[in-house]
Amino acid sequence: MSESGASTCSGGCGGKTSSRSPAELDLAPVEAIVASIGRRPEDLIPLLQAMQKHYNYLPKPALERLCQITDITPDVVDGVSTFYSQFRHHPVGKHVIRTCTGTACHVSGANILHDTFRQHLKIKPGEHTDGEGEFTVEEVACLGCCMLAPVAQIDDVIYGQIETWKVPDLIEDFRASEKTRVSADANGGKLSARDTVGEVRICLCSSCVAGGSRKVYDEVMRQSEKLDIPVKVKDVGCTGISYDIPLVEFHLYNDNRYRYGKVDPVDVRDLLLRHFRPISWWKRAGARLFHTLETFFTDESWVPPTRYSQDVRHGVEKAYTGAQVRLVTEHAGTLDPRSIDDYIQHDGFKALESVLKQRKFEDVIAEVKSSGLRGRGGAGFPTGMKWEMTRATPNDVKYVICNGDEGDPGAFMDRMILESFPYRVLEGMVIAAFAVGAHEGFLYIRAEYPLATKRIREAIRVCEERGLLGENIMGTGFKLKLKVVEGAGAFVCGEETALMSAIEGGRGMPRFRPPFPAQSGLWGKPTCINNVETFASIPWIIRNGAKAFAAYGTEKSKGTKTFALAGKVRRGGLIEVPMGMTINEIVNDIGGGVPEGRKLKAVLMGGPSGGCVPAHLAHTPVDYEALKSVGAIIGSGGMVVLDDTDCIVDIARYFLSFTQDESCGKCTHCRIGTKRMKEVLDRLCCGKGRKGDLELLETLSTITIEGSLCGLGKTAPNPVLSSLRYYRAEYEAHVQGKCPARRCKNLVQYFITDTCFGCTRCSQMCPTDSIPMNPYHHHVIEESTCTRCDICLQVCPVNAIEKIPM
Amino acid sequence: MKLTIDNKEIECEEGISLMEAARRIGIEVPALCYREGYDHFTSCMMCMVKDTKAGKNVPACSARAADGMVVETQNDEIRAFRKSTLELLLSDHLGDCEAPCQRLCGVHNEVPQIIRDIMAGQMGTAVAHLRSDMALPAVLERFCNAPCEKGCRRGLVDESVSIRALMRHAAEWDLQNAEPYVPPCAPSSGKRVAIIGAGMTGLSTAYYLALMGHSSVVFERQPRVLPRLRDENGTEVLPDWVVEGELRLLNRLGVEIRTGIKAGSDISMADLRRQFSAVVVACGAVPVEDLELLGVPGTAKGIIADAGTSQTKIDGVFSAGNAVKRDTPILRTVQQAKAMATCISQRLNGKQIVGIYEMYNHMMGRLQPEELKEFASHASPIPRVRSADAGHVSFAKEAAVLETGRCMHCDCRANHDCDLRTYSDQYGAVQSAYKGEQRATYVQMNGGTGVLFEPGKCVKCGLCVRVTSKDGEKFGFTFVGRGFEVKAAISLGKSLEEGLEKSGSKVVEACPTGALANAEE
Repeated sequence: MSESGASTCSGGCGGKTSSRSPAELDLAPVEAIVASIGRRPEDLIPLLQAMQKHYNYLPKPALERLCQITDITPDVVDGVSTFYSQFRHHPVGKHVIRTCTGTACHVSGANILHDTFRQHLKIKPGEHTDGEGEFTVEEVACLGCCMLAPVAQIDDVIYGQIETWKVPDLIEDFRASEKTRVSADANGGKLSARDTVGEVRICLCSSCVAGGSRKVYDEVMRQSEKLDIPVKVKDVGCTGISYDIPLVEFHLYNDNRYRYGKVDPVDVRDLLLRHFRPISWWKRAGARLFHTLETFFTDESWVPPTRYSQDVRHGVEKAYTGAQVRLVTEHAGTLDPRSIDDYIQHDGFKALESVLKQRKFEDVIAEVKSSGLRGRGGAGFPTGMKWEMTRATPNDVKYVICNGDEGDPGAFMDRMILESFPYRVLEGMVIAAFAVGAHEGFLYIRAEYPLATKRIREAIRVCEERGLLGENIMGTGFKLKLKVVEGAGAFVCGEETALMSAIEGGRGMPRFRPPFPAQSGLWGKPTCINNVETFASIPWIIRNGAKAFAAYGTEKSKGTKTFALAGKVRRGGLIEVPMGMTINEIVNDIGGGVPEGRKLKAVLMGGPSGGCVPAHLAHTPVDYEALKSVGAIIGSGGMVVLDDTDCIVDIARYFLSFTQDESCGKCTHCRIGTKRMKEVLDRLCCGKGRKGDLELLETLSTITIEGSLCGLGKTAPNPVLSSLRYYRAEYEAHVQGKCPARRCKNLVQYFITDTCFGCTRCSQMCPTDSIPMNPYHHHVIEESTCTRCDICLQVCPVNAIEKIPM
Repeated sequence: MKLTIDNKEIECEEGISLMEAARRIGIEVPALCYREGYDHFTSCMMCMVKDTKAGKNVPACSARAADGMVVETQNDEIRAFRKSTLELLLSDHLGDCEAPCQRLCGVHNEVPQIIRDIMAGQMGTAVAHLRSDMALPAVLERFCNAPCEKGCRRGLVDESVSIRALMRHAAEWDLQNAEPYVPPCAPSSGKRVAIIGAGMTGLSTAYYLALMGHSSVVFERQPRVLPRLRDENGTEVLPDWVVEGELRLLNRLGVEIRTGIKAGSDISMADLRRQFSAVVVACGAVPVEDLELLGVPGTAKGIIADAGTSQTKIDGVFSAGNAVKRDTPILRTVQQAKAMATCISQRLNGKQIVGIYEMYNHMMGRLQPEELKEFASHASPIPRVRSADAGHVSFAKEAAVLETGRCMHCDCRANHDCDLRTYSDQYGAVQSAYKGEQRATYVQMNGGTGVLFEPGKCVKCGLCVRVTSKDGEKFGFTFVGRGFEVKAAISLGKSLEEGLEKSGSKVVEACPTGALANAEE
């Protein structure tokens, strides 16, 4: 985390690594950007984003020019451009490698991965770009592809499940594919004029693409054309079955469905031929002949794709999907997220129609109230009450805001919903706007979700064309204008007052409440601000009634909740379950339990604001109050499973690093208190703990909770307090310099056991040459130069490498 | 609308903050990030008060007063909270309230301030500052062992500043004036103190008591004051005009000196105790028989007196200096006189005897090499001006001014006017309570605007940002970065001069600490 976060440079050191001097900088693009975006204070973040896109960073002369030609003053430009972590004040390499440091990636060794990139690219300490200026390395809070952990993104290509020893190949793959790469979400899915024989459904959401679905999609397109098989290749909303991607479904028009998991592009041709027949006989014959010849001439015998086959009705997937209830993610795996017609065919906009044409706003609010829906962003405030408050505040101008600044590392519900069900989110928002009386609205979506932003923008455009947004919605005279605002990298902007400050073009600093946004929000106007999932729940509630929704769940927590299930679990992904299901059921029945005979240690709930539920309390149901009573929260829905190899102190330190890095720095206690807590945890994790450190942690936690204005600071100590509550002995071991889970890098060393037969593989792969080559003999690790990168342990064919306490 | 704050009822209109409501009934709620006339920012959290009905603490600067509210601005919980708030701020505060020279000085002389006065040619002010802490400076600075110079940071660069010579220069300048300076005294208490002995201890005690509003009579058995010091050194080292000058000042302050009177025989201790409100024994080192004659319990070593309060075994009788312990260095005797006078004054005013109150004093500790460079870069690079040092010739004016340029001004310019210091003192905050792993590196900016900017002292209250924004500065202050690393800085990396075209004095006035201060003060 140390190298990410806001730049502390105010732009003055920009020229340090720059090859061109400010004098040569062409400032004309700044004028063009201002002309196309605007010159008002609220245009600042989009202006900076556009400038960075052009210059690759924010050169100081360009910022000064910006001040001269807009209504924005230098203090605001400097303040805002240094607040958001997206903005850079010095040039970067041609490509940027972002290692995800989300929770799931962290437990899968993200920090080691980041170091390996640095090492491989020979980046000097204190610098971020390699000598040739080709690659810059950065850390990013969370890319939202938690089941593919650890994940890294190079420019807009996401790589998943990266083992450190594969880093050199990965860089090569990136270089090789540079020319042929298609931009994210390039439009495919064309349908030939002829009748089709069926559909091939593939999800192209960010995490599926990271898992390789784009390559499979392209191959299906190529092969179906080549083989002359008229199939409709459909990009569908994500099934959430992230553990098995790339997932391809063959949907035959006789209603038979066949799903294949972990499909490789080389399998595509055979899969197509298995289910469909080429139109022309000679192609059929050709295909058969070619297949025979290929099998005949190649050494490698082809592994039949049946290996991957998933049967919808039986077995593994049934366990995964069977217990789920899909309201928010209704029709997952079927709906084409980019097709409004598909959405309409699946009951889309029916709720909106009934609201606009048949109901009064009071009825809508009453319906939402009686459904018991509570805000899905984390706090769990009753949605209907929020709407009622906004409606009750008299003002001609009101706003509705969709909070899509999903920042919890280890959570990706909002991204999935925005990418897979954009129209559903918009429908929910229009209904909310009608209920509260707003005619203007914003969707604030975090910077790391470009595909979500793109799809929502497209959906807004289509809705405007179809009269589902705009001046006269469905001919009823109701009007609503929606606009997408892209975040610029600040977790704290998930807090509603900070988010509104960001939309206004300021630093995302929370303010004291009351007044609440419903009373005085965006630009001082009453504002209804809800989370993505909350809005996405609305159409189902309106269509099926509050009662049907309230039938799911517990007494105080109604309906369903989506969770991002990740970490040490066999089957992870986006799931939607009725409230009240126990954590055990989720982890074991849906997730298939922890892998490789490991033991469940705890489940982290609610990310950096939440806590851990230890294995012995895993019978706790997901319910706002029940989870609170054990020291955790539902939060926005991140659920990271830990096994017995995970260190709880390391996890607490990880979360504290995150919140400390994301603190806006306003409140004394959050700014300094979290820093001091992190220092204590750092000490503990590197064997420098002191007597009294645990008590100090508790004191700091208490005052930080008390002295912070917003949720970030008020909840930042939760992971520490909750883990101290259940794992105090593990903390005490760290005070003594021991890590029982053998996870803390500085408290373990790598050791080669007698099993070693001298294959030299570890020696060959060791990036610091800490294992002298000694063929056919027992190898030894040179402790002093070992960086604990874990590569030897990963590559050893006989598992001869162990971690032992220092 | 009615509410109760600290058991006082107040009627006020809707929409005002609790801070404002409290002020209207004379209750001050502490705050660092709030100043009247500017928007509230709610960052420091010092103004946290208890809303007892809601059962939670709220920041008074931004929480609105509401009908029926019952608010407490002071209770144990809030005091503890404010203390920890301050301690967190102090853990990230970089600077010294007082310079090492002042801290090490026995009489706590405000050295850097006096040096700035001399440099600016404000000799009168220099003398006023000097005499507010030091008794008989013209005498003392001829004999002082100058611990100030041993702690002087300039000594780490080349040689320490000639502090003692500069102080002596100021004191002698004063005595040679037609109208020497007379320090202001507290209103007379009407109480009188008898002082036995007109040595350095006795005369200094008389001086400090006079400043505190108590008159005194000094009894000296020899025919002249400071007999031992003058006998041992001769007039070349301690000329008569110096002693006479200091004596004239003591007379002006109402100190009566009776020479040739031997206490114990000419006038008994019982009489002294009857006639005076307190008695000070400052007779120097005398044989034990003389003590018996006086009737003060002591041993061959000297009078038995409490080290903290200077009280002897007899009620109302105090003692310090060589009378208690032989060969006490001269600075130490004046230091003890100051402490003793303080205790006597506390007794005479019916207060608890606690001695000199030491205010909260922040210390940055050992300087890193680059920090030393930073300090030195703002001072004159010339070698030590030493004309007056060895001999007993005073500094010439030009030499003195030249030497003042070598001072690195390690003190905080705002140390008398710092809310952080005042509150830390009030709430008993401890600097090291939440000590960080690594302290930041000290920097200072002195842009020639008269404003000195020391970012390490900033508490991120953002008042400077609000001031320059309200004043419409072209490149005003802004927050740069976020989280723990957030800094207040002039926008877009511009200089202090460019950033503070018109609001220099306003930001200094608004800054609750010494982060922004008048360089000359």
